[in-house]
Order: sequence, then structure tokens, then C-alpha cells
Amino acid sequence: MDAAAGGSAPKPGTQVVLTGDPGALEAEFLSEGLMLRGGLGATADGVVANESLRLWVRVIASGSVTRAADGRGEIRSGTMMGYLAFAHPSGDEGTLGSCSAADHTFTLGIR
Amino acid sequence: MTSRLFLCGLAVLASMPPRATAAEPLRVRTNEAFAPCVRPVLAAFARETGIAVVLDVGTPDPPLGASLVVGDDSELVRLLEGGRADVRTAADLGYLPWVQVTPPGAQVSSLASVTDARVAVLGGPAGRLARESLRGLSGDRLLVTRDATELSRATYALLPRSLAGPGEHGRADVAPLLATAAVVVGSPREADARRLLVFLQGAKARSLLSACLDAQPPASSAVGAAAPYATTVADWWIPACSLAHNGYNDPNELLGGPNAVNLGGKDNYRGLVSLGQGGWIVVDMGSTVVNGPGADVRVFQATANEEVTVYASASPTGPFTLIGLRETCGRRGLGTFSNFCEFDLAAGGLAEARYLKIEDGEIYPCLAGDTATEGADIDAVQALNFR
Repeated sequence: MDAAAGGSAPKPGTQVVLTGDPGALEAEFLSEGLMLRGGLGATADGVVANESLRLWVRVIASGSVTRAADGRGEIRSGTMMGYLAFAHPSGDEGTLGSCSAADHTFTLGIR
Repeated sequence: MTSRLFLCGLAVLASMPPRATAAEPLRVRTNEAFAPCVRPVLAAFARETGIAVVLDVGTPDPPLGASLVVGDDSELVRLLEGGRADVRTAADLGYLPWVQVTPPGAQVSSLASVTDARVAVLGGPAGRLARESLRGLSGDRLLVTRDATELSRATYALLPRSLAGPGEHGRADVAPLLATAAVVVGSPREADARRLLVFLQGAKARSLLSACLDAQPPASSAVGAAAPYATTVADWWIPACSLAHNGYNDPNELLGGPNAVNLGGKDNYRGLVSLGQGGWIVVDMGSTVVNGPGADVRVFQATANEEVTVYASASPTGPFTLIGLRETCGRRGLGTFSNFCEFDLAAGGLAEARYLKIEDGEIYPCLAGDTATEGADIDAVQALNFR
């Protein structure tokens, strides 16, 4: 994922996108101090994860940014509210399960 | 000499009119659930007009060469909002309820309690709410598929009524699918598709469809004309990416009563604000919304059933309590251009609130968007119980 400043008006934002395919998986966060909160979404095609799963995501994600050892930012413990679905890479949305909840968790770490 | 004859032959071939070919049929695309409902109507249309019609079964988006699509709201959002299907032609054909299929005499109150078999449920976007209703079942006890034959053979299943096979059919607490037809812009047989659309709304088609689809359910509880609408925007945020791409960015457009209209075609609206990817608006309702009978808050949303999340608070700066997460916002029946959805303060354990935070629930990637109305399109917010 690549992160960059996402505008300053009406409030400061941070944009996080999938490297190489920015429209396929994108987060638009509102930045308030070190807190980020905003929408994380994939298109109707979903995105294939490194784990060979296709993922559909439509959530409001939030978390606090901390500085990793190399100086980059990361979210070690974030929460997500909304919809997640999984399938095999060529499968239909949700064939390996789906879940809507207000208490999903996530980590956005450096690699 | 040989060369001249050859060239002459080429010239003759080039000047010949195109060889007459059989006309391409009118292609209609609909999902697995609506196919059994639509098929007899298409046959009647073909008999009456002499126009050959082919029904393709699958997710209507993308249309894959179809000139008319019939899909649930959840399948048509991108087609209608993106302008590939003409929003002005969108016509509701009827509602298809979900049923719980169990073996005769099994006396199963809830499919979540089934332990000796897998429960089949429709895959794809149209089945999302049904799958979510079965979240008590682990993945290995679910059979998620779009194969109509496989679904109809399932011993235990949660299905649109049109796909249910033998067994007992019980009421399922899942919002019915809404069959909506729309003409695909620039499609091969657009004129015939418009003719078919008119036919679909006529008496003969309605009669045929009534064997499969239900009429519109009654609108929600009547509300007095004095029921207040949002009066002031207290705070708002729409991502910079969405502000740059969208054309309807004024949060004040949601104040007052519902007044959104489409002025003709794609991205040509008045009276709404598009929330973009995860954007939100905090409104002062001008009075106190209270937890009363039924729903307490109604949100008017203009495009199909794009999802909306709502929070409530006593203060414009929060803390805000969630009262509805990504609720599909596509109910009809109030005579407005916009559709609507409703929320109950009790869902968040609240007795009252003055401020409501209306947040986009579609959460579609901004950079992939191709319209000026990305995100939920909010027309108005109304208090149904108030003082």
C-alpha cells in the first residue's frame, strides 16, 4: 500500500492505495492528529490478497498511527465497521464467507 | 491480364451490399432469481411483436451485450449511477421475497440451528443480505452458489422464492429483492429494449409477473406533515479525492424536505449531496429526536439502494452512537424521486438525540469511480418521533 496526504479542506486527509492498482483498494482517511478514520473500499471485483484469497471490503476503518523503526507510519491496532467477504481468486463474492460487523480489527504494518 | 481480372473481382466484391444476415436478437440479462419470473413475459413479448428475445442469466453488471437488464437494486447501483443504464428508464417490476426451505415436518425455527446438513444460499451481490443473516453459521456449513439447479435441490436453504425447490417454505426475515428493469445506453437493440420496457409495465406483463413477484409492500408508518427535517449542517467531511471527482458537494443540499430530481441522464441532478468515499455530514435536527414507536429517523437517498450509516448524539461534536451500519437505503413508496431508509434510536440504546451524523456506506474507491455522484446521495433527513 502507498500512503500520501489526501488534501487539507474541509479537513486534512490521508489517502492509502494499493500499490500498482490504486483504484482497486483505496482508503480515504480523515486525519485528526495521529488518528485516522475513514472509508476503506474495494471495487465490485474485489482484490486478490497475497494469501490467494479474493477480498471484498466496504468498511469505515480507524486507528492511531505510530512510527515504525524505519520512520514510516503504521497502524498496529485498528478497528473496522462494515462488510468483508472472501472467495477463491476466481470465485463469486462471499463463497468462502462474509461478515458485517462493527468490530472487525486490522493492522496496516510496514513491510 | 490475370492481375487485372483479380483486381476487378475485388472491386465487384467491395461494391456488393452486405450479405443479409439474421437480425441480432434482443438480449435481456437478469440474475438467477429473476429469470424464472421474467422468462414468460419475454416469451409473450416475442409472440406479440415478432421480436426475437434471448435471456442471458447472470449478474446484470456488466450487461455483456444485453440491451435491457433486470436486477436487484444491489446489482444496478453502478450501472445506473455510471450511466451505462439509463436511470430515467429504471422501472420497478415487483418484489421477490426470501423463503427458508426445510424438509417437510422438520420443524426448524431457524436455519442457524441446523447441524446435520449444509444450508444453501444464493451467491453474488443479490444474496449478500441473506448471507449476512446466516452469520451464525460457520463457513463450512454454508453452500454459497449461484447455480439455480443446485439451490433448488438443497434440503435446507435460504432462497428467493423463485428458486426454492421441494420442502417446506417458511418466511425469512430478509428484505425482499426488488426487480428493476433498465435500458442499457448505446446497446445494440436500444429501441426494441425501450419497447420491451413499456411492455413490461403493461397489464399483460404485470399479470404474468404477479405469479412470481409481489406488489410493493406498504410504505412505512404515516408521518405528519410537521415531522421536521434537518435544519443546519453542524460539521461535515468529504474526502478531497471525492470533492475533486464529484459534482454534488454542497452539504446544505440535504437540509429541508426531499427535493432531489434527475434532470435528464447521467450526472444531471439537483437537490442532493454525494458523500463520496466514506464522507459524512452532521446535522442539527432543530428539535429533539426521541425514541418512539417504530423508526425514529428517515434518510432520503437518491440512487438505488446505496448504503447509509447513521449515528446520533446530544452534541454536534459527539460522542456519536451508532444506530444503523450500512443500511441499504432504497425503499420506495413515498412518492419522492429519492428512495429512503429508516433508523431507530433504540438500536443504539438512546432515548433521544438532537444531532445525527449521516455517513456514506457504499464506500466505493474514489479513484475507481466514474460518476459525479460517488457515495450515497443524500436528499433529506427527517425526524419521525420528536419533541
